[in-house]
Amino acid sequence: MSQASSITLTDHLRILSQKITSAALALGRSECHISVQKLYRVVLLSWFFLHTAILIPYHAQIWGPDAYMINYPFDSGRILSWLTDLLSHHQIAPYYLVFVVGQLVSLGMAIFGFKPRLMMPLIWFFTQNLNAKAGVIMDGGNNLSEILLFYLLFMNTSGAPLGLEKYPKLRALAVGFSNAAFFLSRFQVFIVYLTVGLYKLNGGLWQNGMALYYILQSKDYTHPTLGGFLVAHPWLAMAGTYYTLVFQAMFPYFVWNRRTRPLILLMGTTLHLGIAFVMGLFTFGLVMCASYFVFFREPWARFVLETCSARTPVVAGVDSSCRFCMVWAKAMKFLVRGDLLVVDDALDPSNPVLAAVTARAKFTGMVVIDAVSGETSTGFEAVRRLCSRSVILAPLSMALAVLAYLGLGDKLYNAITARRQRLGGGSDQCILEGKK
Amino acid sequence: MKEIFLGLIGTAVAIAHGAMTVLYLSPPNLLSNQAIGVVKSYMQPLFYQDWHLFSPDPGFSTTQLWMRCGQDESWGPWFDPFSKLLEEHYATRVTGRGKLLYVYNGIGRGLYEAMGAQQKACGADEERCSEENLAVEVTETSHFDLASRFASDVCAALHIPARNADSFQIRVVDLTPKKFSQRNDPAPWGAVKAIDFPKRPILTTKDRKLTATAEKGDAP
Repeated sequence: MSQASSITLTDHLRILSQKITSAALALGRSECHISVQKLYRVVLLSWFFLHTAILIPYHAQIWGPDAYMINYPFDSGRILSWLTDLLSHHQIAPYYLVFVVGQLVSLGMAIFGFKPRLMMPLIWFFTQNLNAKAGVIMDGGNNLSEILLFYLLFMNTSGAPLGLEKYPKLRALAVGFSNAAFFLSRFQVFIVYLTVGLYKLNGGLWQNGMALYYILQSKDYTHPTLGGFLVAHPWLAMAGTYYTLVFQAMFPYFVWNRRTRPLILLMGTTLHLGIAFVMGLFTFGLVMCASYFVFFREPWARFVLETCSARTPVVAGVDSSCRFCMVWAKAMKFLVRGDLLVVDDALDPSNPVLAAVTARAKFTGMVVIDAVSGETSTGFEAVRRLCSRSVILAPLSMALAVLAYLGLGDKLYNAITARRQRLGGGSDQCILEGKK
Repeated sequence: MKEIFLGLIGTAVAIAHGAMTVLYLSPPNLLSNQAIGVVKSYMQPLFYQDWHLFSPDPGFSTTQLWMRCGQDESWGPWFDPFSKLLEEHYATRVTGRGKLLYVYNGIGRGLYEAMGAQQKACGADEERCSEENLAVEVTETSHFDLASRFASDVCAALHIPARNADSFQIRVVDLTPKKFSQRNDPAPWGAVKAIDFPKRPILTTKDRKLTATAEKGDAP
């Protein structure tokens, strides 16, 4: 008799109960997506910031009391109106700018990590009120963003595990809710595509591949050049229609598989950027791309966060004979928080950490040493690591990481450093090279 | 043990909420028909969602608001007040003009939908349901009040040379693209439907105050 058949039903039940218990414990204890949740918060809130910021030039026409929209009366008997629909009240409506500024300030603070847990309810409050006032400008992207913002309220987006070790019960509750909110955010994006995919599969114009051909003839959802080109070439419009259909039908299944996830997210990003710029649904296209960050894997998110805003201090050694390098170092000292950067002369370092670095590393023009891990970077990687210490330079740091990934970083760096004397207007002879 | 249950509360909430979302979005079936009242009252205040997004069949007609200003029965030409804004939106996407167009297009679309609702409610009475009569009925709606406020502001700002405009007229135009089989026809659109609303005098400050009071819901 085989070993498997000797296991009794009681054993099977015991194994099952152990698995359920460990899963339940994991839900209350394990925080597996700390970096993903932080990155997702930054990206989603940045979208909210952008959405409001681009409307500021037209604020009176969007949220003002005299905006050309039908104003529905304030329902004082509905409790939720006092929380989410205050701008419908004629005595509060003239002060709409308080809500706009309040939203932008709280968003800015939360994006840069200043008291995000305190800011989140404020952001939700201001956003709900502004959106309720300007209902006519709301599209599917706003609908999704409102729901995702609500889930974000319950998520631990600090980028660090929840403390609360002294209060294990409270911690279990908080971690359980954070995990649930994170899962619901993924589920919400999943259900958007499941629903829209099923609807589209039932649409005659989507089935025969003509949907895009007709949509792009509407003046509201086209671009004279790009849309006109697709309409003039119906085969391309048909390919676009089927691409949309295949992507939306596949998304709900392929996004859960770790191997197919990058492909499906890349397909979605191209589709939604097309919607943003060809159809002109700019904020809709961007928020759909922003929602994909909730599907990032922990190592990807950690890499992005590390690339954009590393918090460990570094010592930078700069070739003092190169004026260009010195100007760069001075600029970095201005842009990077004081406690995160020490700049020293690579030739004659006073800093003991830098002095210990091998002579070869110093001859690359720039060397950066992580003061915590001791990791040494030179050349292009050193520049990237330096940029990653500045919040302002976060987008540049990300672009540099892409260049490095493509293998173009070192080529670019070498091309610049080879001309550094000419670029900086320094002496003809490089002291570093002379010493070498 | 308590920690396990506390950790599971979040999961239970997520499962219940997920089930509500599925029921809310699912097409009518035995389960959703039974629970639709509870599901709607739970979902609609904060979790309202609609994911039709150009499906099942996308809307592709263009509804535009046109208008003209007049003085002493002398009328200026019909014009589309948002054409410049649309051109600017085509030129640069990274601005809020797309959303601003939602606001302005909403005026014409509201009138067009109000007209459709009147037509639907009217039934088969041909005399009463003529387009002209329905357009008069639509002038009683808040959509026409909004359009009047807009048109009055535009006409007041534009002027007719040397004299101020004293009246306006609104036209809603619905443009349907040509069918694929008609793509080589010389006409720019497959179908054009224009609804002319009755001429109206430009709103005075007093008129505006009355409209605003009615909108606030505390009219006498």
